[in-house]
Amino acid sequence: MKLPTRVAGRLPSKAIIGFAVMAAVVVCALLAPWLAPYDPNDQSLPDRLSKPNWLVDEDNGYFLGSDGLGRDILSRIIYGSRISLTIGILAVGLSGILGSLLGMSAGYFGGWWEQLVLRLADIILSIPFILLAIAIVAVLGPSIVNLVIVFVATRWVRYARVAAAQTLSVKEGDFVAAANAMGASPIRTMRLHVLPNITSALIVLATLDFGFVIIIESGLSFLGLGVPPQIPSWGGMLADGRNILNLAWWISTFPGLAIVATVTAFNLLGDWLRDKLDPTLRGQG
Amino acid sequence: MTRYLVWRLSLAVLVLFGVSLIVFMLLHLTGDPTALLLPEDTPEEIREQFRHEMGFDQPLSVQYGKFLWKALQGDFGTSYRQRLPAMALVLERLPRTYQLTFSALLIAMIVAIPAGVMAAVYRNTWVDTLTMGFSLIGQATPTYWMGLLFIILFSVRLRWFPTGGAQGLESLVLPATTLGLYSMARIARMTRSSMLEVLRTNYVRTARAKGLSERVVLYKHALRNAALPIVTILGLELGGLLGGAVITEMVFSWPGVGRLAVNAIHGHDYPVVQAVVFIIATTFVLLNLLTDLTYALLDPRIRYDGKGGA
Amino acid sequence: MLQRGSRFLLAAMLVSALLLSAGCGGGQDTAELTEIVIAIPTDATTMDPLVQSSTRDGAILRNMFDTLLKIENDGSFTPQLAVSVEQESPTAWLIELREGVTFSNGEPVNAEAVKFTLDMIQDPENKSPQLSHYKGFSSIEVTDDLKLKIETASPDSLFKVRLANLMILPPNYYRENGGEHFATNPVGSGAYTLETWVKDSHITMETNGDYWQGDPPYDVVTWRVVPEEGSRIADLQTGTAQIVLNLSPDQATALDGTGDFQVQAAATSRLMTVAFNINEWPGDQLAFRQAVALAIDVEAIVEHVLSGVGGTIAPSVLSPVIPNFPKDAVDPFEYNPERARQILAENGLENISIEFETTNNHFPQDRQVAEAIAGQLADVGIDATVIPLEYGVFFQNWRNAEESPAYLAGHGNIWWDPEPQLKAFFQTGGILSSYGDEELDALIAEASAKSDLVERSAAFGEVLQAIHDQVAAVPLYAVNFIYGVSNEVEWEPRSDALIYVMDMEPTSK
Repeated sequence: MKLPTRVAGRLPSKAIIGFAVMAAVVVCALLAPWLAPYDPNDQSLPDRLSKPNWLVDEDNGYFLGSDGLGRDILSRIIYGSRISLTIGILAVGLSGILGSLLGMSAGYFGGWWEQLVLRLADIILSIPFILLAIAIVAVLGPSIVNLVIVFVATRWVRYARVAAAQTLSVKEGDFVAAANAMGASPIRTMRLHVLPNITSALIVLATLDFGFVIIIESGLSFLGLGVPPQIPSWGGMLADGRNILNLAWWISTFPGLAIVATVTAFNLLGDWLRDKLDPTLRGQG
Repeated sequence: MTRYLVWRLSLAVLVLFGVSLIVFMLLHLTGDPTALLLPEDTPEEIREQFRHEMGFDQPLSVQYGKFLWKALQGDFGTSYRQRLPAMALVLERLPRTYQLTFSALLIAMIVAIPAGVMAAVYRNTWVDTLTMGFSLIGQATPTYWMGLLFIILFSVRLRWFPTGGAQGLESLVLPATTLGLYSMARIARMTRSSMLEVLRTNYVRTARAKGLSERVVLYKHALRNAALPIVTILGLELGGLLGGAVITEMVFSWPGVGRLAVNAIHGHDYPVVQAVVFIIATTFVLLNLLTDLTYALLDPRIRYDGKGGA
Repeated sequence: MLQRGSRFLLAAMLVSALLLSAGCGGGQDTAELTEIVIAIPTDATTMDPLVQSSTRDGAILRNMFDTLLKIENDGSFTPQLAVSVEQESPTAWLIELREGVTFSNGEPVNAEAVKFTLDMIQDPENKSPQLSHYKGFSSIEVTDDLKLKIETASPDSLFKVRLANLMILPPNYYRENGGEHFATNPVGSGAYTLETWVKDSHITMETNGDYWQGDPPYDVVTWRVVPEEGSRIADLQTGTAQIVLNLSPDQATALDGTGDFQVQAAATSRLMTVAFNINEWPGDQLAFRQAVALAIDVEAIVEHVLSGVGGTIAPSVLSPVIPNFPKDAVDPFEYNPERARQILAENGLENISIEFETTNNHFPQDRQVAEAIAGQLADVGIDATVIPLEYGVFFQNWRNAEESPAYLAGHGNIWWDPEPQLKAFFQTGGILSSYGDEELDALIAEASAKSDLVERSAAFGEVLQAIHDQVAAVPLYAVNFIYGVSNEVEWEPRSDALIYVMDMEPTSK
């Protein structure tokens, strides 16, 4: 049985699923105040650890159940999308930009600068990410800004490497030589010739990285180093419920599913983009 | 070749130096290290005295210098909490972490490679979709979440495996499987795409045309050629697994260096943290080196660091 | 006291004689070793009493090392290695040790050993965390093989408590082998000796065979390191462990009555409070503090967030487990959000925003309680942002009085007496104090000077009342440690979280 690989015109089904889920997440993030049935921080101590509505006879008002302080899980998941998207976009965006700049310049100018950048990259890659993250957050304290700093400080390396490699190969090419001969400034050259060539690789990387960021944020929350408690985050919710999985499975399970769905969506999109933009990258990651 | 080796080794040393410096700076920016070493109600002068005995009152550069000097001689200092040599504490637990990571990789490979092959051979059928679907989800699932679910299901409900600790082979199964999930997913996809490429080649068509059985074609010819890219990412996977082991060790109470490191960071036990990071960084560096060398040896068309993002 | 000890000894000898004769006559093979397994959340850091500072280590080590005295749950002292402790003058004490006790390597437990232990602690080079506790011993003199005279720099009402925390080291063995060796190869005079220690996995102890107090109830004690609570619970349910520590309130309530075990909650001396920093507005405003006190519904927090078992409501800042002091003579703050809003409005403190610092997983349920409190404060118009801090950072703020205007803090008290706690947390300039009031200082000083227990108790009662009136802090509850105990064991947890296997008894089957 062959599955339809193309649906609705020229888009493969995996891209459709990816876009659909991503759209759902974005909608949640943007329209949270209207979509969520309750304020995510509304506590109701006597109603804590209530089961999801559809599992009990009486309507308790909690569609996906309530957590340890009586807050509505569904509302927190909806608001949690904001954190995941915000951290994701900031982390991926900033590390992408930083990485590309460092990588491009390293590849372009070569020499000691290139060595410096690449060795720094090696150093950062050699420290297990999780330990670095723990150390940084332990120092700076848990907050969205600090989490983004952790990611940017460690993930720029991947973009830099790709950018550097691609820049090198482009540098060998004729465009650049010709542009230089005509006296174009390095920045202009990089912008006009190098950048377009590396963009597709970077975009693919960014899409896949998005998922990674979301998972790591939840991992850090698991270790108690994630976003501060009053900001609902999927990772934080996972961590909150982990001690009582046997008593109140809904607290961790639904945010977990949200994470899996979102990350899968981004991975699907990343795959699709890779297939579309640069088939030579197939087989990576 | 030797020049390349020497070059890479000296870079490795530089990298390790950089690692220790960064870790040192980070650690010493945290709150008071005596917070967890002395009772709360210790009066200030005694706390100062303690800090003096431990050397905390010297300027950071001096502290780092001393640390480096001793580290070069193999002495990573004494654990603040346990008053035992830090490196010894790390080395006692290292075999456990290696055991976990290698088992995870093994499990990943045993499941993923045949799965990837099947997906490639039966591409675009339900086998392919199912396998790739699982692998997609596998890459999207937070490890510790799966780990906790495994514990609830297999240890608490079904009582098949112990919930944690490291007594005997049964206690290795759940943590190794959990840790290996992510790698399993990646290796499966890698195998599939690599096989797909090889299956399209003339080499394979010739083998088929010669009338060899499909089995032989697959395993003797196709897989061997597809193996190259897989082998080269194994090194990277191992490195990634080392990092993932930290969380897995916490979830399953596995007595390895990951758990030691997390506890040491929380307990401000700097010498232990430095020792752990050094060992892991060294492992990473060596793995990278090996991977690069393998790549260079096997693929003469090596592009400069151009393995892409990975 | 001596009689009790030797009667016990006699009984133990008779019983062992009976058992031995039974064994000889019966022609049995080796009798089966009785074992008890205790599941603990974290491994011990060291086996050397000199360098340990945590209750966890202390609990384990007490089974291998004896102290001079032992404190019972009601605050009374029973002799351990010291059979008599007499106060000769306000600053001089005479100690007489028990005869015939040896360390597990044969060394005698004598006055030399006690002096050695104290000298080691007092030497700053040894970096013992307990130095501050024994610094006040200005002279330690061995007057006879089993007699000591100790002088204190000033009258010390906590002298006996210090003796109850002093685990005695073997001088020759320690000197010959050094601290590093001792940390993994301890030698003590306690009921058990260390058999194996597999780091992060388990600690196994075996009976000394020759314990002065008599035969321990179990031949082998295994402390299993099980960081995951779910795993500890599973161990209890499957009978892999007979005692498990550190259960969380929700799990404990769900577990209760579901198997062949009991869930036991023991209040400790750790008192959770909402403390105020008077260096940070509005912490210095009495109206603000009063409003906070009225806004918090402690009952709801204990009943819901702590499932009723995680804490014991405390009317004053002195934990209910501390005997002999009037900690419940103070009326608790009532829960009255209306009045709270009123007070805030009357004083121009409506709709204020503050930060609310807390530790993060350092005290049980600290974050959740802080969040619950923030929710209750929001109901009266105080917008409190919970800031969980890593303990090192929190501690630094604590020491430097740099916390947020209100914060969640746990007051510890290992002294069974209010003085150290109230001085540290409420005196102007106290080590961990972010409060200060002249009147209160005077009351504290006055009460501390009293040595007669009745007078002392009354005087500290006034201090507690003043703390209440000034709302120097809002007492919430005493932290309960929750244990799971198999029905095969008879044992009651202690309020100081120490675990004496000697106090356990296998229930008759």
